[in-house]
Amino acid sequence: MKTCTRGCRPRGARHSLIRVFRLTLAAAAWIALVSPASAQDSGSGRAQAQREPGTGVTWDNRPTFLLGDHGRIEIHARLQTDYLLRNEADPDAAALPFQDRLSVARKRVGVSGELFGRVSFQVEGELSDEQPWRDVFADVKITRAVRVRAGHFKVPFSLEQLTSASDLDFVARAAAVTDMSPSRDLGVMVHGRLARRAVKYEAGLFEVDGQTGLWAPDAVRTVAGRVTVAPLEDGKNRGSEALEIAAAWLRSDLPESRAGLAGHTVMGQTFFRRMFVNGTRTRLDASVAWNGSRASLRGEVLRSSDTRVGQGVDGSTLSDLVSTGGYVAGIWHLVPRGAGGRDFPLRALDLTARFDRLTFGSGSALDEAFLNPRADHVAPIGKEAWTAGVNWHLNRWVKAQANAVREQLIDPLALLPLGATPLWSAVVRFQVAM
Amino acid sequence: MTLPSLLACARHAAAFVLVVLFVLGTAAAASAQTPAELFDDTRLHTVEIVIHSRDWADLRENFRSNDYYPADVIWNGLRTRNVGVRSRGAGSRYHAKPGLELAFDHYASQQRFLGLRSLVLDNLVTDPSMIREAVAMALMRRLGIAAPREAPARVFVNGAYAGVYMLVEPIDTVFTARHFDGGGLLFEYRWTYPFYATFPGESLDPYAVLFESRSPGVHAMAELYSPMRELFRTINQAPDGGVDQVNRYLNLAGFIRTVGASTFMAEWDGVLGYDGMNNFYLYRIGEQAQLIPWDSDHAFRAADYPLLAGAGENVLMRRLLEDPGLRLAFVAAVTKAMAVAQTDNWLERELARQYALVHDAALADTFKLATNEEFEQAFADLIAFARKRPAFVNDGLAPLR
Repeated sequence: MKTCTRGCRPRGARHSLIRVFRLTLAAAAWIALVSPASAQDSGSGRAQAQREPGTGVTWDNRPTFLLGDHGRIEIHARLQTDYLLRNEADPDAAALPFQDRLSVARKRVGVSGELFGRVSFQVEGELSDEQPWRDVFADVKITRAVRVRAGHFKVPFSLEQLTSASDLDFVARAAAVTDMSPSRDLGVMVHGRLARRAVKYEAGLFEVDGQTGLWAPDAVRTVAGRVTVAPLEDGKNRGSEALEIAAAWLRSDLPESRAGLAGHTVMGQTFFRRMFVNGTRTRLDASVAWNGSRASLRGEVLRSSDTRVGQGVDGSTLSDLVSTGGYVAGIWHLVPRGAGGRDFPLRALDLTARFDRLTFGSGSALDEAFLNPRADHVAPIGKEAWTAGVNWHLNRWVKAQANAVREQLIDPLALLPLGATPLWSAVVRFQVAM
Repeated sequence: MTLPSLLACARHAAAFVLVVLFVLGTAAAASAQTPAELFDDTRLHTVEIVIHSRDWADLRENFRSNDYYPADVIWNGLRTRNVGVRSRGAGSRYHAKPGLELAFDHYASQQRFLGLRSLVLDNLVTDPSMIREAVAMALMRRLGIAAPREAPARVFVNGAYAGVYMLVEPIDTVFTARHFDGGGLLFEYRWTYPFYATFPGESLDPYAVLFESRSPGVHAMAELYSPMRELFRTINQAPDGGVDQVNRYLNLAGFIRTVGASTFMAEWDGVLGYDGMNNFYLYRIGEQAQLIPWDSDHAFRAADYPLLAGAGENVLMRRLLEDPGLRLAFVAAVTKAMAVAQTDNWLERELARQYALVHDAALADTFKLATNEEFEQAFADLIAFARKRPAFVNDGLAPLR
């Protein structure tokens, strides 16, 4: 969420925000109005395109260029605007004017496609961003079981991190996922499906921050691997998406710097500051996802361990910095998608709830616990949050989400000045994505 | 019970006794230390800072930044861990010998060192004599003014000598609790532009720029700065003959006492500084604020430094001097400061004592800006000041009486 709420925008930016907000609503209204016809057309459009690969431009949920037997290219766009309802962490938030409650979470455009039956690609960027590029990769299918992806894309690690922001069931990812997972990096990855789709694997080598080049001797690299097992069959003797169990392992070089993991509240305040680290970072992740027709359940646990060679105030080696976290989320499909052909203005309606937790500490508990960035015994600090929400899919492109979050800091030694009072926050998100 | 088990029991008992003795000994040593000992200015202290070499290099390289670095601080055999160290100062920031703030509560809001939340290590680079600040504040305290305690110290960083510093008691909630009733709001004056107590206007923003809130917790702008605005409105808009109305917002007796002492000491960079107001705090209880002096590295400027330097430009001081009663109060304040300084030749003796205390350490301080010759000359100038200033002040006060 990380909505900016205090004096962080110049006046011009505020007007720009209002324009974006209006644009979001206008786009939502337009798409909603034209959606019944196009939605009916779109399902058959893809089937028709697959049956008769022609050429030209068509609308298949989004503008699509058909290249005959050579493939297809699709144009994507995504706009997410947040409206802050409540932020108890900021005493001035209640008095914020309308324009200061707005923020643009994402403003992206992209192109994806398939070429020659073997190559797929994606190029996506954030508009008006200092580092605009998001997914920029090509994916080559060697066999059904072996594909190779190269470029800038998400490191295979966490289930929720790998889920596109426009498909999330909550406005913000769980804190453990946001603060402990890598995002996108420059790299190369082998992936594929085995055993009739019952097993999916991803294994890659990435360069953190893309500063030196993947093969440079001084490159800061990440090695990542993830395996997903689908133990149930889908009726066609293939692995089903109804139940997926995944495990991931990741190891990164960690140059000497103050680059330990930090902890943030949902509104972006830092409750655990970065520590000095040096050596390697090892991360583990395990997740389970059950997707039923009327409800879904997801759970994920993450653990990160950073070595701290020579990082004591006297140059001694400190115990590992350890972060753990996870979440359990439930989604009740009050109005399931596709139920009875419902469409605008109620394609689907979900009620959502999630509990998530993120804690920081260290491998040593022998000495007095401190919070300074070179503490050997790092004082246990963490955060628990309950999130409840509603997801209203007006049609396949337009979604409104409302989330209320109750956060509670875990500070058993009372070292933080933030206090122990739970804080509430609430945000409404409008999303147009195609 | 077998012999080995008996021996094991004995070993455990002995270990237990040793641990108990160690804990009791450590506790006794810690409890024996007090802030009064830390600020005991009759001896040269030793402060050791253990900080990661990379952090120390970063702090010196980025000496204009206020970033904190973790460190252990050792004083008098007492090791305090988990201390936040940062570069500090305004014009005195210097990469080779950074002024330091040791914040004991930075990484743990409840952590204290001898009851202190923090400690200032003044790098003394703007004062070749290295003792002006300590002597000036000592005179303030002798006059009953709430002024910080100070003591000289040799500072070592990771075992290497880093120079002579002055341990300075910070103006914070611990200080105000010692001197005033609690529950007030503390402000540090931030020199931003030459400000002479004119009326900054109706908006509260300029007051927030000039007076940085140093009170813990969250306070609304109106709570912090509305009385400040009324203070400067009254200073500038009170009718002729009515300047005593300022007393509602500023303790005028305390203000005059402090300015009187600064005047005798030829303070060049204080409330009536050469470039506007500077180097003070305000502590406000209810509506009325108390003036607290800070940073007197530029005291004892010259024996013939004009008595009313800066008084004409400063609206408050000008109006005080126009009021016969308040002008006489100012004369009395300067006279009293002079008398205290002259009693038993206190000022000259104090300068000589402080000089002797830091002498060898100062000569060995290779990070100071001044040369050893300049250090010696600065002390000679101070002695000359102590001998000549009273006569000059007496002459200057005569027309004001």
